[in-house]
Amino acid sequence: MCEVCAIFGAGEHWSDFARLRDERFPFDDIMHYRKERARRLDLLNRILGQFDLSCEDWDGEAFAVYDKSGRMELAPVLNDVWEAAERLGAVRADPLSDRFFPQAASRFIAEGV
Amino acid sequence: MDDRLAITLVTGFLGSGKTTLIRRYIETPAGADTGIIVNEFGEVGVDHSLFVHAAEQVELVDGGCLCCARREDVAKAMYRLVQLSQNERSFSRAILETSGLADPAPIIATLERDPWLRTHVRLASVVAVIDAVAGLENLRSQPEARRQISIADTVVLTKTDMRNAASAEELSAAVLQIAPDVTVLEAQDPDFRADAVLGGSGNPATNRLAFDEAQSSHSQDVSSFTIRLKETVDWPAFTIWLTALLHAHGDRILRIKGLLETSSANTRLAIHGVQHVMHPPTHLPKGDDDEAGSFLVFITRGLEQQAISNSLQRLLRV
Repeated sequence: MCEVCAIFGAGEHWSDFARLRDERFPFDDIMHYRKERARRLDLLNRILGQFDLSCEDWDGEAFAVYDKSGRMELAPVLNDVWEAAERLGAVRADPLSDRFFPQAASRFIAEGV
Repeated sequence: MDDRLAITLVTGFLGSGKTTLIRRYIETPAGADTGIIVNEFGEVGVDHSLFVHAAEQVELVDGGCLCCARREDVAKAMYRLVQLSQNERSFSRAILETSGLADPAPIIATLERDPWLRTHVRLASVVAVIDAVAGLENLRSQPEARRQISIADTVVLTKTDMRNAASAEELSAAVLQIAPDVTVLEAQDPDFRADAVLGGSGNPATNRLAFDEAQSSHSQDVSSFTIRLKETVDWPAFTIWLTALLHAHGDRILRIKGLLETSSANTRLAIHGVQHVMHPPTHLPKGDDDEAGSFLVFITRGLEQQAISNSLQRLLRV
């Protein structure tokens, strides 16, 4: 737990609940959770990178989304990352569009919202 | 142990028999300590202290998406019910009866998004009531009636014994065309037990057999389909995909349910969501059908199976 923020270091969003064991506390599988969260961040960055954005972990619970000029928005849960990305990057995050996927990076053209 | 108050949402078009069904349950010993919230005063002639009346009041939150509107009336009524349960009389469960024209999605969103409610209340099940006299026509002509069916875990057919009633088979087929994975029960059936429908305190149903039988179907503006996944699902990639999909198209995804073998959990996960709102996944105990693989059931309005399936497969391959 962060002593300043009193944050436990594990999200309470639905996407954070796929833990090894079906128990919230004690959080024995914290390392496994962290590893999965790190993989999620890596993939998020590959997607957001196309929009000239990046994302960092914020105390193990939230996400900090940055644009290239250093502007930052805090996304408390994974859902909020997409809204933050749209505001910072002036793009539309839509997984039904080709432009969402990293391999389409070279073809990506920013789309106004 | 989860000690939150389990709430069952009872929805159904005007005159479908919601109140009668609830009365049938609360008159049994099992249902006697059930707290009830009604949007409209009905004719329920039972202990009035069980009731909290919620005058309809819908508040749009930022963005103005109707399915995410905060139902202030429901939130306040739930606060009162939980406080009643903690201070004056103890309820073992609660039932919320929506008004006939209500879209239940904002109620579910309110329960899930309010931090206080989330820690005191959990959604146990959504039950939709449809009557055999007007039900078929309502499904044809009323989008609200179709939405109520699309997000239900269980559908109860009523008034099948009345003159001019459609047959239970016909009604059942119309319901399954909208929601192929839903459990359909007939209130007139001698084996029907109201406590089995309204007295549950588990999590929203994950009917494994029904999932396996679910077929693609289309009913007017609503279509449903199943996507099967052969390999273990990469949970981080899946959550990125689903949150983005719900962000972009949640207003057209009436319902999503699924059972997933994932990289993150030791057992299969049951997932469940209504429009923009997902509930925390439930870990299923290890069982005989673990080899059944992973699948997702979608009920959508105007979204194609192929587009969703291709998108998911593509992200899982990244």
